[in-house]
Amino acid sequence: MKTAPPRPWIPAWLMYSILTVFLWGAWGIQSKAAVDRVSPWTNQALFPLGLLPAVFPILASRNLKRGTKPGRGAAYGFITGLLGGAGNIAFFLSLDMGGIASVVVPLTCMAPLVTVVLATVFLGETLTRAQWAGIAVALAAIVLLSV
Amino acid sequence: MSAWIWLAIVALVFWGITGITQKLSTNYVSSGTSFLWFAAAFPCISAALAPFVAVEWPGDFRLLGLIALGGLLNGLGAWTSFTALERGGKASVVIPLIYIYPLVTVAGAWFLLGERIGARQMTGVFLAIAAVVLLSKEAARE
Repeated sequence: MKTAPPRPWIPAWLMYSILTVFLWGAWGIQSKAAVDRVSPWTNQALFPLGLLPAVFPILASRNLKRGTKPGRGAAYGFITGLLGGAGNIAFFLSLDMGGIASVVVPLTCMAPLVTVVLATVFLGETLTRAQWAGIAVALAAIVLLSV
Repeated sequence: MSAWIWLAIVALVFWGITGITQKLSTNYVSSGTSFLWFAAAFPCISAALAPFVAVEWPGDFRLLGLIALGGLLNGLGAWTSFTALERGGKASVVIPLIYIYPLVTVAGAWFLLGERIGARQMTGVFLAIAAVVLLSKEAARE
């Protein structure tokens, strides 16, 4: 008689989500510790050194050839990196100019506010009531964090 | 407002735009390919910065390791977030969950860096997290 394989005690997606929380949370702390020792420019310029170990396993992945428009997808991916890097520089400069990690990180974490607003303009998406409430709460948070 | 707040808002705007470009990218290619092109942009930024700003190569390997750790944590975080969605996690659950990461930063900054924030700013931190959860409600309909 066959028995079903044991269910994992935690779903894979939840494990990866929690890992992300800790990785990015630790990145916020590392960023402050780094900009206290080197300039934001040096920090960003040497940033790719650490990306390499993350890139190699993905290069070995089998689903890299999937996709309908590789050129367009690559271009948007590359633009994402450019904007992400530019955002990193502003983030590092903010920490370097006196912002404390406990305030700068939650403030920059409201990036979905911009995404949601732009999605209505460029992707034709509509806002839910919860999202309108989110925008109002985000604006209140910005005021409180910036005082 | 202080200059550092404006810079944080600039970062917020740039990272917010990446939410759109990332979505457009993954409409056409796999998340792995998208991540590789995302990562490819970073050496280009470094090369572009080099002639214009003073980039000092840290003589201390521990300091170099600390800097590289930033790229590693950020890159692995991007990768695990894609994987969470690929492994069956609903965007409406995964996205709010991921964006509570400032709680880890605030707690870590308290213990490791000795940072202290006031009651008003602490309220702002919790409102920011509540806002992220509310803003992520759109993903449930995707």
